[in-house]
Amino acid sequence: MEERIHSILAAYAGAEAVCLPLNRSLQLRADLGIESFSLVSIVVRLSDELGIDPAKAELELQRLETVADLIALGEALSPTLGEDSKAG
Amino acid sequence: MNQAIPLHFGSPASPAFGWMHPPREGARQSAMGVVVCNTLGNESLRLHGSLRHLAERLAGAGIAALRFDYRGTGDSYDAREKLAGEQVSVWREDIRAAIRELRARAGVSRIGLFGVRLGATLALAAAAQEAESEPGVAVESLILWEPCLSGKDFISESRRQHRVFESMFPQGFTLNRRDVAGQPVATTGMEAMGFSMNGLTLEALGKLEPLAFATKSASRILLIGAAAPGAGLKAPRAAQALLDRLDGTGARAEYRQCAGFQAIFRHLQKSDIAGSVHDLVLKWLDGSSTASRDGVAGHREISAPAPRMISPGALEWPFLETPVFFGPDQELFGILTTPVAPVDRDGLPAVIIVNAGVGTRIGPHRLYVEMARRWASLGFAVLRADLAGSGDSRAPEGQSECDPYPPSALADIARAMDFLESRVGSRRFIVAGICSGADLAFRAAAENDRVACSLVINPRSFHAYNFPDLELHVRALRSRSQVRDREQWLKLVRMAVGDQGPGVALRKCLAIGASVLHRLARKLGAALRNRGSRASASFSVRDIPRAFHDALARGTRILLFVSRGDPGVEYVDHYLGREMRALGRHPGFRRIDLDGTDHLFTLQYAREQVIERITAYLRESL
Repeated sequence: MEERIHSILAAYAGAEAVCLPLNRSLQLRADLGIESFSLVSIVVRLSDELGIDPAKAELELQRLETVADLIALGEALSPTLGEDSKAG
Repeated sequence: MNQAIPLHFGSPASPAFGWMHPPREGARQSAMGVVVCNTLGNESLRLHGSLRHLAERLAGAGIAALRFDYRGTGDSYDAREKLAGEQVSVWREDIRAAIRELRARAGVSRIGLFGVRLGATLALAAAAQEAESEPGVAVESLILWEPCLSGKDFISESRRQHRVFESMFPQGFTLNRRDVAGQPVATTGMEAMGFSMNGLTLEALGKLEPLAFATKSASRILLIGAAAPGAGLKAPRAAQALLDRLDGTGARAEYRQCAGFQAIFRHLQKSDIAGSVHDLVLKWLDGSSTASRDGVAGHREISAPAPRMISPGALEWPFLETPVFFGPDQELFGILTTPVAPVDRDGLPAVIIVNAGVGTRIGPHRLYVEMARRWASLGFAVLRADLAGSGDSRAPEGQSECDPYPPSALADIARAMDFLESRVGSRRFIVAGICSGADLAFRAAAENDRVACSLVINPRSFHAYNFPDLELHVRALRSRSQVRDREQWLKLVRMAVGDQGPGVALRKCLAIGASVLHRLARKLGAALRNRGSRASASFSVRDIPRAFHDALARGTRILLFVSRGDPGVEYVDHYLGREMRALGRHPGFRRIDLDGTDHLFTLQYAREQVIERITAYLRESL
């Protein structure tokens, strides 16, 4: 999950401008230059890859500020991870 | 001097607007010309710069290029009654009209089409139509950059983007058209990120299926995408079917991987123009038949056409739109909208609308276009201006592009005033803008005696302090209010509990609560640390009320128009609420707060409300 998000973010931030893996505390806007519309596109792309409906994560979507927030969004909504935590 | 030539073309009653880029003087002129087809919707606004640079690179390589706005979008026009009809056939016809215009003006004998996203899909469809209707003069080369593989894909992605955006900013999406019972009015169409499509257009888009095209649309076709080819495939899995289909029609189709599309949507000055894609396009075109390098028979001078009067039907108001260059080196560009009938300009100010953020003169979701055409009906001359380095205005040597606050901004506005004085005779001006444009409209009112009125719409910062500090403060204010919001806590608890057991649910609630408090403490701490540095700026937040009073004392009228809760004004209201409330006692100051809409008025009804209320203000005040 984290690697997938890093590679998506790198495409929007410009792969040459970021060092992978990304520091989780990086600000999406201030550090990576990712503004609202890019963030929308990233979330849609992530939702396509995970097969989820991103609009169900309304609270998380309103708090997307850092790389960690985006990872948390993906983890919260990923059906695979949800099943793993139920088994645990 | 700007090399490119702005022009209207196509139907005289509803012309499209575009830019002709003649081959650079001294370059070996190609017999090929390229029509550049942008996508539609919100993405098209951010792609403007990249496509302008592409057209310039083509012209530099000796290839004439024409880029344009589809009718009903950008600076183009279509009558309101026609906009209620199906638009896909209109967009396809616009591409074909652009091909005819390029042939006629540049004298080229070979045509290439470059399309991006839905523009690529439409270009493919238009090329197939050209091949069917005029087999001998078909499109030779077709370049499809990140194409939408079907109209349905475009609709689906647009819808999902809008839902995500709405989820991110729910408070900005409640101002909808409502019936007498107060219920939202149902529509067969769709709004997505500020772009509206009616029901007929959606139906036609749903039938746009490149995979169903049987006609060979071009001799050579290049698909460009960021994704790597699939294992054992020539293209990524999603594009392979299209590639196979195009091969099947007899075209020589190939896929090349090239990153760059996503980086265009980066924030402001970090935005990229996808130069790597431009390099690939030029190289690919150069690799085409050597006959294309033999040049045209003599250089054809491409002259600027006369301004086109746009005369809508009886339900609308006529206006004249003229593309203009201004400034000492004619490096600044704008569209001048004027009433058709002569107007006594004594006492009637001309209007200058300043571009917002990295947007162009068309404004957020084309709001400035609608404003200018409406205000021309009241008798105003309106100049929608691109500041230096934005839109189609050149940046001076050493100045970067896409800077919402170019160093020359206030000087550019003064140049716009000089131009309007010489062109239409006005000596007093209304300066209007949204976001950074509002900041500049505010500063122009504070510093320029010629400003009779300033329309300050959702100012970003009043040009008074650093952006990162504003973001920190606004997030801190919101987090603080969210901590006190009982509904937010209940929602968190419901999410956490879900179908978990009580022990797991409790641990989750405590973790979420700790996270929220930690986040709040971090933001408030950073905001407090930064507050001192802002106070030392030359024009700080504390100077804002004084600047308002100084302008009002000179007789300047000011309308502050705000989406309620918009960050820039919320910040000033929070720290200088008493002073801001005191402005309301001045007869020249007016404030309108609009509920239920976001910073850039994404919903169409919100934009209509903005225009109605500001137009009413202009009628009453001037």
